[in-house]
Amino acid sequence: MNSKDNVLEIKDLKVDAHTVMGTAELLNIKHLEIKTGEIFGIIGESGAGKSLLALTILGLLPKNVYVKNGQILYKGEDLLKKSQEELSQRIRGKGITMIFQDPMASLNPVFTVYDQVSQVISRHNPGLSKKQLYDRVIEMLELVKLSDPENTMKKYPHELSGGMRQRVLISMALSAKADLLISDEATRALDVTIQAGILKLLEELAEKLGLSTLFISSNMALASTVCQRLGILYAGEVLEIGRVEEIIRNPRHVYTRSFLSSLPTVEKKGKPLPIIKGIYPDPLNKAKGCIFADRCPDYSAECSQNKPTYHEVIPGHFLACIKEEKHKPSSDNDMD
Amino acid sequence: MDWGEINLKNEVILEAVGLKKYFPIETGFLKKSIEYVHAIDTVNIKVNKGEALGIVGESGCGKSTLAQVLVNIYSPTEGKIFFEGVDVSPKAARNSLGFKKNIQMVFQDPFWSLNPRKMVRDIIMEPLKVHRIVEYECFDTEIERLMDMVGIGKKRMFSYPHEFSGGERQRIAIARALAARPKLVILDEPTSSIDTLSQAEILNLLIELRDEFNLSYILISHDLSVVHFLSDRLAVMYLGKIVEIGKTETVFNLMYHPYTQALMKAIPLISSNGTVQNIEALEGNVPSAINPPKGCRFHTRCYKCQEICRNKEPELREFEDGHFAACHFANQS
Amino acid sequence: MSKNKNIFLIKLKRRLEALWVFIKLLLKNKLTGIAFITIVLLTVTAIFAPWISPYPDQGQGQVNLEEKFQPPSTKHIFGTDELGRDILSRVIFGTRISLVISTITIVLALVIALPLGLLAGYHGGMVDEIIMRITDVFLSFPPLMIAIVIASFLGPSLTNAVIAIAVAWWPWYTRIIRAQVMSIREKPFVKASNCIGTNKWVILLSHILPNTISPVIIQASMDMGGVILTAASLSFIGLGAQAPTPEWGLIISTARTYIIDAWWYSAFPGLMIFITVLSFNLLGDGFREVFDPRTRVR
Repeated sequence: MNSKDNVLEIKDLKVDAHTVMGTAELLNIKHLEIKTGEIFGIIGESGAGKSLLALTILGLLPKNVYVKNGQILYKGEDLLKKSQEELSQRIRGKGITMIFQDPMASLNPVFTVYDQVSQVISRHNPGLSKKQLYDRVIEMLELVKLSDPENTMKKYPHELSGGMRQRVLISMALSAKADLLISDEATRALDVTIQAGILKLLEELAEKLGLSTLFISSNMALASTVCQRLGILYAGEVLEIGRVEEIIRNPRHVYTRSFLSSLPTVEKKGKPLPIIKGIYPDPLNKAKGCIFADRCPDYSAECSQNKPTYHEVIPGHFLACIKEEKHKPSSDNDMD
Repeated sequence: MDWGEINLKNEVILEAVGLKKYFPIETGFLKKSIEYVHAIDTVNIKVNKGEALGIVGESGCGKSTLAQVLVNIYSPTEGKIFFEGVDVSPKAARNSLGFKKNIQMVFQDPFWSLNPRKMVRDIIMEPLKVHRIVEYECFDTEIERLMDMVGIGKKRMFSYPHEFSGGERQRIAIARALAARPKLVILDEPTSSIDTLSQAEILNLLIELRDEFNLSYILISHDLSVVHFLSDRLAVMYLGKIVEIGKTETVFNLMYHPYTQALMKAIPLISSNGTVQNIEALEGNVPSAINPPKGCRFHTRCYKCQEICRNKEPELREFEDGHFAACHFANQS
Repeated sequence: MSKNKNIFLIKLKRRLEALWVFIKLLLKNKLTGIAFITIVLLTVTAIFAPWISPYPDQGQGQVNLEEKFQPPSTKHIFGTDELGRDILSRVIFGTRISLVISTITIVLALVIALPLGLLAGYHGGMVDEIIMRITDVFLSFPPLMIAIVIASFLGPSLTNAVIAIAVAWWPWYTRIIRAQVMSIREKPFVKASNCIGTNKWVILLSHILPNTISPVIIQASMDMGGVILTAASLSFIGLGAQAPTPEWGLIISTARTYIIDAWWYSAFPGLMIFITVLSFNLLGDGFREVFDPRTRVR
């Protein structure tokens, strides 16, 4: 593992929250890295802590939530050691940019697309002439495949469709020379045909410009079409990380397997879908051992005694499960 | 457990003929309506007894409006609706309790689909009260039975909706819909706001309930895998019109209409052997429903588009047994 | 029938539990907590005024000329006025008047606004149009001005001031209720009731009405302060309470003449108005925070 190739690396991150009922353990991530030019997916159900992870990286935690320990290395610099001022001047919206499900919230409704994009460009390239600036804006809008940039840039955000708004936001991120884009369910509100276009764009930008993306989603199928590697997040803990093909063909963690087998894929029609009983863990009193133990069909007493170690099973594939050995890689057929 | 082939009787339970719904856009001082949103435009559909009809399409295609017209939340601008062969288009017929009892609806939003100020017992009791399904003394037994049926412990009868998870709330909504003992249930994106694991449970539940009570479903969704899983027949809508309709498998495999092809290609699907379909984007945006394009409504984004498509609106033509598509060049690639 | 009673008791218990959770959430915010306690204290003061005040007779207007214009001392904590009355007692009785008139005014305004707002929002069309145009007329003047006009038309008295303020206030509530009804009307649970076939009046009263209450409570608690101020203003210019009623605005109005010689005369009633209005505003803010369903904890 060469840490130089990583745009982001998270080590031993623990995030807790004070609540009226006590301390809630929200995130507990042993190790996670995003390589330069990679689209890395975080998959989890609601309450898994996906969005919280994004906010932690950007240093935008709510008042009662705090980082207990750990490191978030952005190109070698620990973001957790930086002051809010430094983060907002050098990192947020510059190096690391986030796009949300609702793009309207991140665009200023009273300025045109041109105003907003050119503002970002001139902040990063002071001293551009008007003509140069204009050309750069067009260039940036073309880069994100906005059709008819000359016309589009005269429009206000509310005159654009959802897909176009997301593209404008991505172009602003690129103008700011961001090298890490965090997409938090950014395509969820879009129509599927439009969504496909945004996914294509992310792939292309990763390839062409080496833009890395942290792709947060609850939709495994969606993430696996666009990501190279996936991390499975469950109740704040990463249970499995690996290349997409490995994760979906050879899921090694029981949770990943259940998640995949509960998807209503075409072949499963006419049969009941397998179901995992139990409820999502309460962050206020988390299990001491494996976080998935109480819902795991392969449960045995040792699971609830110690936290499973986070280990590399095959190169680049990490797992947190004690009983992994018992599942031969061919066990994926049991979901048919 | 294997549900096997679903037994299809060709008994039509619901039929809509030439259904139209235009929403007026009120402008000006006197609120004169000059323009209309053509939400659904001349739609004909049939639902058979015990059958699940899926309707897919992107936002603004009119699928939700269609559902709400069918359950009488909106009245149609034009067209007729027949329920079990009886014309229920007149207002009086549609508003009669006897008709309303037959069609119930489950909504997408699990947060607002239940009144936040009412306890589960009162929520499920509402249809029992209105339709006098059982005697007053038996309400509680009936509520317990319904809660048991959807898998919510009867101990939680006196809980408020906010004490339940999204999936559980959707179960309560299903229990409420079934309390009226309807023949047809319209499911508007029943699983799109809940997690994958809860989704699997809800889908299983819906299939079990259908088999148990011989229910008919109209399932509206943008998630093709959910639609495929639940429905026997599938209709694809674009800009207020049905562009293709037929057996689910046939629609998935043959895809006569270019829009169906585009839709299928754009949706990320994982198959059980772990292959991921490569997705393709469809260029352009959905045109405005206020002034839909002349001729074929899809022509602005269609790769097959020719002169005739811009001028002449294609009719639904039958290609296979019971499989219709509305495209001039459907069987040419 | 014992079963029905049982269900009623369970429901009541659940409602009280919900109320308790609500109060706990409300008091979690320190400022709201302080405001809440202040208002409870003010209410207690108002109810037990005759027992709490050191000179209840003077509080209600009995003159004591021997001790006029005494500065604050242990005997008269807030000092005395030009007729030798204990200002503390006057202010305590004033609490009673202020709380009663503001409560009655808001209840009165709601009695007018609730049916109109529900009808306008739920029915829509011509009814909505007419009701809204009437509120527009009222809303285009400052409420204080409307109150002044009505009060001077009806003649100066406390009852007339209450009527005047209520008339000036109802359009605001009508608007809030109407807007809330219109948003609740489109919620899926209302549509579901439509599908079920529930009578539309039942839907209005059992589904929509309970969900319109929270913004009204927020606004009402914010307005308590505003109404107290308006009532005080009316009394100040002589259109509200008449002497010797210990109304805060009236006391300040009289005290105005002696402001240089007897600062305490106007300062303490003023302080009471300030504290009361501020507390109600803070409480309203607290309500707003707690009523937002997204901030609720499961």
